[in-house]
Amino acid sequence: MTAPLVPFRGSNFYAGFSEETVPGTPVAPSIFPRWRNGTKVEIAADFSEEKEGDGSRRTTLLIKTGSKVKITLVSSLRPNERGYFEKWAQGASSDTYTAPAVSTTLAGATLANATSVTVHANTGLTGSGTIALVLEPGTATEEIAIFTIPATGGSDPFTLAVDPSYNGGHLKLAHANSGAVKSKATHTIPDGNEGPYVTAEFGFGNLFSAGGTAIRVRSCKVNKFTTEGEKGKILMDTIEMIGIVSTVQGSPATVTLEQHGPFIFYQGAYTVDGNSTAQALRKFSLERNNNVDDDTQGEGLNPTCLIFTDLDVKLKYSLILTSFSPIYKTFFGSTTGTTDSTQVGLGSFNALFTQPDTLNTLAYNILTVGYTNTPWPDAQEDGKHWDLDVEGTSVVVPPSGSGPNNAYKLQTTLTNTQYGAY
Amino acid sequence: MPDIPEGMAPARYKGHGVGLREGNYYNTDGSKRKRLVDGTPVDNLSLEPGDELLLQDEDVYGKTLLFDPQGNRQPLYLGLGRVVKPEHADLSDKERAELGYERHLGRPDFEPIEPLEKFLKRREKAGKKEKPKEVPQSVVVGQPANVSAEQGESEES
Repeated sequence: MTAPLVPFRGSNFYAGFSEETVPGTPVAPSIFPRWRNGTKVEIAADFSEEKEGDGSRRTTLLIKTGSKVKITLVSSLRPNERGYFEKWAQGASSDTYTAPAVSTTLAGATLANATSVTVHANTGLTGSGTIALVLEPGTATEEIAIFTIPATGGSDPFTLAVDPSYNGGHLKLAHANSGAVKSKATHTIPDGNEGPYVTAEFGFGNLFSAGGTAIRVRSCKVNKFTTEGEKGKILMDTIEMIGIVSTVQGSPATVTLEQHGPFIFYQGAYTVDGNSTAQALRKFSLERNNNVDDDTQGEGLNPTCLIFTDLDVKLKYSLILTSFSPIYKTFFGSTTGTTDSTQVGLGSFNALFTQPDTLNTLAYNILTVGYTNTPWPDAQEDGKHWDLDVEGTSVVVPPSGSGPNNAYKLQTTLTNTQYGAY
Repeated sequence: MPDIPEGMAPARYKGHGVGLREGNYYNTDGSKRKRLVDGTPVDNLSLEPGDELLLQDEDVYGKTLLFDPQGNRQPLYLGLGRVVKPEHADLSDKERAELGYERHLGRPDFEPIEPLEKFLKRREKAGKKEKPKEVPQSVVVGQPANVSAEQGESEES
């Protein structure tokens, strides 16, 4: 009897990434985003059929003319790992890190269900209101909770009460004495100049002793980074990278996974042209394109380098139609325009996503959007609402304006528990 | 004490704190990584700064490959760490790079617990000295197919 086949399971796959500290020197991957369908690796080899005449009609010489690697990662990036991809897309050294205002330690152990903690310092814990703090960040007992400020007690140790808005005023986990207590770290990431090189690695059927293989792609750069949100769904990121060369790996990576949650569309607060969208936004898409120059093949088979060229930032969104102003703005130059105008309709876009813990946030900001298309809606027999589709591009130099250019086409701001610059 | 699986090296986590995907992990003495939940040992999939465990040796120390820049020959795995063939010992780093030397660094979120030289000596004592060979195309988890380095930061013997 023939033994059954032992096929590879299609989900036995990992994608890992690390920034190259020395360009061209690959690094074992350390960031492993959870992937979705659409994730793929393509060794983009070019071939040429050379037909030389020798009297017959059978002659064809096939040569390989070049090779590079195209990578697509589809993922809902988590708050900490997202910062790496944002930086890689926006450019080297694009992250400006602001350390947390609160950085202290627990003055005693606490039990699960505790209603307060004691800490050694009250820096950042004066004033009034509430603050999100992470206890024991990066450990198995990490807990992000909301506390009431000011801290009380007058001197070390200070007491911080758990705010009733968090789990009814009770901590969920026990925490050890001397555990770290921090507020959010802030990463401000505008677009910069040249992008850093990144090593990417992909395991195909090699987890769980399945005997598959892995390839490591060195010297990749982010070509496109698209973030899409749609009502009720988690944000979906599609990152397209180009790599110089791939090599089969002898062993699979140890896959580590960030334990924070993804961002969800309804966690967003959206501001279009300076006004809240008032719950009308249905979906959006933000696409960055670094237009990477990969036509750099020299004496060898692969590109010799990759270069960020012009940056394009495209915005699309869809709103429940309650006003025709966006159409007037796009085609008639302003919300009060009444006929075709040479004026480009300008606006702005801001999306701020706040996770329930209020510590992990993500903001995208375009200072000036030039609207390029906002079509009149199609008449529809069913009488349901209209969705208004809007397309625009980030404009750095306002065509009819004066004064300095905008500082960026797109700025990402992340607050999270990554306590150090990306 | 359990044996340390071949191809694994002890490493200390220095990243931010993450989880490990489902699977088997080992303490640095080769025992299975477990934690107690209500008195029952279960796989320990948490990973905190300072945790020590066994990792693939090349993820800890990095490795050196020798490529053919023209793409005509298969890459040669020279060993863990930074390895230079004796005939290339007098060349500069730039000249070696042009020959196809490619150094891969280890994971930035882990650090070796013991220096590479000590690790290689221990491995050699266990009779696991091997020669450079072409990069293998298949993977054996926990028992890596790739050969070990003969020398770390020095020349190949």
